[in-house]
Formats: sequence, structure tokens, C-alpha cells
Amino acid sequence: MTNRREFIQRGVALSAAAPLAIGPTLGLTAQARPRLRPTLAVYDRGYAEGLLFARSVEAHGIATHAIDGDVTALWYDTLYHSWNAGASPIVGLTGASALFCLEQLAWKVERRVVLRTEHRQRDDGRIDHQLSGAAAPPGLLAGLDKVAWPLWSAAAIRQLPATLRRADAFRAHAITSASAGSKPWEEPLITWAITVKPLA
Amino acid sequence: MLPPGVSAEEFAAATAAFKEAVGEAHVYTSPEDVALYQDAYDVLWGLPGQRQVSAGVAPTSVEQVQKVVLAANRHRIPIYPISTGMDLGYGGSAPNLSGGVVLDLKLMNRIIEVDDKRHFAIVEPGVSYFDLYRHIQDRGLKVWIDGPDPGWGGPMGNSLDHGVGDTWGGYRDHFYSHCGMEVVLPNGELIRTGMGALPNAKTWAEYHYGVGPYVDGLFAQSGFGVVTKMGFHLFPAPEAYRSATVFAPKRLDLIPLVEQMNYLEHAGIIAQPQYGSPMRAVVNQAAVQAVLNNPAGWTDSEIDELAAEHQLASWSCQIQVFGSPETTLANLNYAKQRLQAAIPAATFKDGVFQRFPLTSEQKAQVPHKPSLGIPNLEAFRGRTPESPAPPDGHVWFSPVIPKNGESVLEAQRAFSDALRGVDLPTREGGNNPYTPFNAPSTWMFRAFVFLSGWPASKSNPQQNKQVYDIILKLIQVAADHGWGEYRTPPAFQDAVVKAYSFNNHALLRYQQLLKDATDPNGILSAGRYGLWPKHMRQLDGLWPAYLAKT
Repeated sequence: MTNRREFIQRGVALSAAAPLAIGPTLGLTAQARPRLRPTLAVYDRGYAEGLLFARSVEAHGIATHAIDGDVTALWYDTLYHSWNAGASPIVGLTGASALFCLEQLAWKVERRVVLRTEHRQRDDGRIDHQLSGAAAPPGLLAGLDKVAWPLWSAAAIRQLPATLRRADAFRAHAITSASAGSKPWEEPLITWAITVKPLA
Repeated sequence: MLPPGVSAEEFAAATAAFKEAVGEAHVYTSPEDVALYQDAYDVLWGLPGQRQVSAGVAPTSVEQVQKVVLAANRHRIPIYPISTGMDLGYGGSAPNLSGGVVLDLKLMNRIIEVDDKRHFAIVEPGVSYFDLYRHIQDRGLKVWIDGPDPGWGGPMGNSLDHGVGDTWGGYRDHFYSHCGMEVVLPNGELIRTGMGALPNAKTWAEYHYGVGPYVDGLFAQSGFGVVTKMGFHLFPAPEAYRSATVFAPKRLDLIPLVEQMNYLEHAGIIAQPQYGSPMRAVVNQAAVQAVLNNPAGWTDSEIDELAAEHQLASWSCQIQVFGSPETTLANLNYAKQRLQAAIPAATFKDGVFQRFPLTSEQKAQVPHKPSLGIPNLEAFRGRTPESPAPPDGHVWFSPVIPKNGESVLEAQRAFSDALRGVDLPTREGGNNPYTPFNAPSTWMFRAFVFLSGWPASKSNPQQNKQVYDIILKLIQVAADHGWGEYRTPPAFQDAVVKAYSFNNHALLRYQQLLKDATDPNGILSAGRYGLWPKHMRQLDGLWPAYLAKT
């Protein structure tokens, strides 16, 4: 579980003025369809970007879970039970390896990655973002220059519809933003959402 | 995508039959669902040989499996059974024959029985190592699993690919430690092997052989049947564990080191030896690289000089012992005695002493959890030289070599020399993965595996082709030295099987006789470990025609 002291110290260091309620900032309006309500947000405590993401989703009432690159305990102690009990959509901002493991495990219980935003560091320090998965609301893609990108990712997660249809799928978009100012990454980071597989 | 030689109409009729057998919800034909069966670590990703899947079918019972097999025969659909499909690095969930239908047994996931007095379990194919471990832990049963690393696969799938693990003796050889099977044959008939052929058998998971010819081996690494239940012998939970590490200073000390560790292990005194070389920590240094990259190769004395300069031992080996607190101490001391006598300059460093059961906090601290029967996914944490992009994966080259120091030293040179001047993918620690510091892998109880890992890529088909060609070369080098692979991804299975060519491939021809008799339509696991259906064996009567190019 999250350490609030960690949040405050590292999240503030990244973006002291980052607003928590950024929907209006990004021009997002309420959707007609009910939104996905994640039961858990996973973040890798080794990345300050993950902390910022977690701070944002936690402010919206989503419980968070920190990993250190390894998903074994998360799977064994938590997801095994919650996914057996019900839908339990989860979201996260982790390294690509952690998502790889979770996706393989999720597939076995008829769940799918329904949003995948890959973030890659460039040599010039900026970040490339490539999105795919469920439909993004209008205006979201233009909002990246308004807030730190982990907060933009957290907002994207919150816009996902609760019930997804295959027709919702959108093509990848590549956009670039400023770095959130962290150390070099060992691997790409990914913002993701996992839930029951989309309806036909 | 359609299975080869199958029309769209026939495939539609087949999928309708599959839906009737297992229910519509468990037949997967959408591109999004089918894509998940692709081999996540396919070394042919982006290349013409990349294996595709046409559909997945997930039965929930033996009766449904039988119906699917019968439907596959009626419509001549190639099917490929998987249990958990997590055998990444050796092929994953995709069929050898591109376009095949995956028979996904993940929903057949009952743990039939676990007995912690007679030490066995009987499971269905969809049971994972995590599932079995949880079952044992939740009930406080006094047995351990022996799983691979990572532990997310299942006992059945892993053992049927001759997978291996890290605890004690023969338990590490997962097929060796299986006992009894239930199998749906290609004609839909259900058999039970070993003592299971006796109705109401009481020893199905205890005594392997029943009476008469022992057929279990036919169902591993093959396409002779769909295994629907399997028994396993389990390691009785020990009271305690002790470890220590022995350090041998000179390169040639490996010979007496292995000899002594063999004696101790084969006599039942120690568990799995874990060989290593402290010199791997300095392999990146310029002076070391200069010796390794010498076109003339390295000498033993040069390697000894490097070790002396760095004040490091050439070899280390972890000694592990299970038993009671008293027996572990006695056996460890005995092991040290023998090693000291054989290698007078050897030094020792004591490791840990654990009493079981461990608390959750203690389990979290265990550095190599599979050695203590704890499944985990830590192998995916971070990059390694063979897996620089973990989600893209890697493939293993796994030749079996004799269990002696001489063969390790020979293998180091043979493979290293074979790759001199070859354009190799860039990796940390030097592009050539074979160095004088490579240690053997010891999962097998009675042989070494001389493993190397190679990166696969989802974005660089040129690198994949490079790796593919390199491994084909290594397969030939190994065969020339009398070393065969024990396991390999589908991309290399034909090449590996070709190496087993004694008496004009007599073994393969015998296996084909049996295959043609029991699966005349060739529907089951076509091509798995070189066993192709008769109608596909255009080349020399042994291989598909397209293999003439390889």
C-alpha cells in the first residue's frame, strides 16, 4: 500500500503546482456512459512518475499498491482473489516488464489490457507517448501540454468507459511531452488499464 | 487466418462443431483473442516463419476434450494442446504448424488430490504452480512443489516439455517425477497409464509402471495425445536447510570440484549444486575483454593470471543441504571435508541456516525462491544480457553435456570458438555469451545443461534473423561434439531433431510409425519436436518440403 509521506515528498518535488482535479484543465466533459471504476491502481515505487500518478488517482478515491518491479505478491495476495471474486478492473503506471507479467496473468482469467500508453524517454529528454486501446475522449490528446504527463495519464485512465466494446478501439497516437524530470529509466513505462474483455 | 489446407467453409463448420462441444464463449476467433496465443517470445517475430494461430478452444472437461478431438478429426483441423501456455523461451502457446487451432486447457484446473503422507499430487492441465502451492500452503500440507523459474506455468505443461527445477534430486526433473497420466488419444479414446489402467487403482500416483510397456514418454514433447490428468511425486517438506559456498582458485580446479559435488549429490547427501564464477563480475573490464577477444583464443594460464590479478576465485559452487538441523550440519561438514581434501586451496563461506516453515517475511527475503519450492516472477524484474527488453523475451539454447568439469571447459571453448568472427547481437558483458567463466546449469539430476540465452525482439526482425542463424550454427556445433539439446523452441525443433540422426534417423522413423498409426489424419500437435503428419512429410519421407531450405 502507498506511503503518504513518500507521496508528499516525491510528488511535490516533481510538480508542486500540479492540480489534482485536472479534468476541466484538459477540457474533459462528463461522458454519457458510466466510467470505469478501478478497484486498484498499481505503481512502481522506483519511478517518481509512478508516485505522481498514484497521488493523482488516490485523490480520486482509488486505492493504490506499490511494487518494486516484481508483481508476484500483488498477483498472489491480491489479484488472484479479487479477479476470482469479480470484475475488479485495475489500472497502473509501471515498467513494461511488470505490465507484461500482469497481462499474461490477466489473460488466463479472461481479462484484457484495454488501455495501453507507452512512454519512452528520448535522447533529448522529452517523452514519447503512444496510446492504444479504448476510445479516448475528445480533447484529451491535446491536454498533454497543460499538466505533467503522469497526471495526464491518470486523467486518461479515469475517462475509460465501464463497459467497453470492440468498436471502441482506437489507433495509436504518438505525441511528445516534456519530461517529468526523473532519472533515466531502465525500460519504457506504461500506463495501462486491465478489465474484463470487451464485449463483441 | 485458416489452418493450412483447410477451406473457409470447412473451418466454419469446424468452429461450429467446437462451439457445440465447449460452448460459444470458449471458442476464440476474434483477432484480439487469437493474438494472445502468439508466442510472446517468438524469435521469428516479424519474419516469414512467425507462427500464427487461427483459433482457440477452451474445454472444461475430459468429455469436451474428446468431442473437440473428434471434431478436429472429422474436419481435418490441426489442434495444439497447451496447459497454461507459459513456457516462454521454449515456444509459449503458439503451435508449431502456423494456422493451427490452440486447444487451451486452462479451464481444466482442478487439483484432484494432494497426499502429504505418501507425497504425491494429481492435477489437471490448467493447474499452475501458484495454484498447487496455494493449495498446499492453505491446508498446511507437508510437501513442497518443485517449480521452474519463473513459476507461473503449470506442473503438467512444464513436465510434458521436460522442464526442470531447483530443489532436491529427481524432483528437479519434472517428467521423471511424474507418475501416471490420463490421456485423450487422437481418435478420442481415453486411456490411463501405469497403475491407472487398473480400475479403482490405489497407486496410480505412486508406482510408475503398471505392467507391460511403459508408454508415458510418448506423450511428452510430442503429439500422441492430450493429457488431461497427471500425477506427481512431491518432495516431503524438510525441517531445515543449510548452505555454504566453496571457492576454487584455479580454472582446472573445476574438474575435482565437479567430481566431488557429483558424488555428494548422487549419494543423496546434498541438493542442487549451483556453480558460478566470481570472475563474471569483472568480465566487462578492458584487460579481461582483451584476453577473451584474442582471435587465438585464451589459455588456462591466462585465465588463472586474470583471477590472481583480481584476487578472485575461478569457480564457486553453492552447497545446499536439506534435512534436520543435525543432519544438515553433519552433511555440510562432510561435504566441506571431501572438497577440502580434493582441492587443498579451496576456501568456504557459510551461507544460511533456515528452519521450516518460513514466515511470509522470511520467504520474501529468500534470494532464490525456487530452491525452496516458492514460485515467483522475480525473473522478469529488470533487464538481463539475454533479455535486454524483457517483454520481448529471449530464447534458450540448451545442450546437454556430460556432468564433469572437462566437458564444461570443452563446451566453453567449442561454442566460443564457433562464434568468433560471427556478427553477434550487442549485449552487456561482451557480445559473445561464451566465456571461460560460464558455469553449467544443474537442474538435471544426472547431466549438465550448458545454457545460453539470446534476445528475441518484437521490433527488430533483422536481429531475430541474426539470432536464428546463430542458434542453428550452435545446434550443429553441439551435435558435432555429441551434445544434443533437451528442449528448444519450435523454430529450432526440426534442426534439433535432425541432429538425433543415429542409423538414418531410426528413432524418428520409429516415432513416425507410431504417430501414423495412432493419428492417421495428423491432427494433433503437427510438427512438435519434428513429428510431422504423413501427408506433410514430402522431404525424404521425414520432413515438410519447406525445410529443404534450412
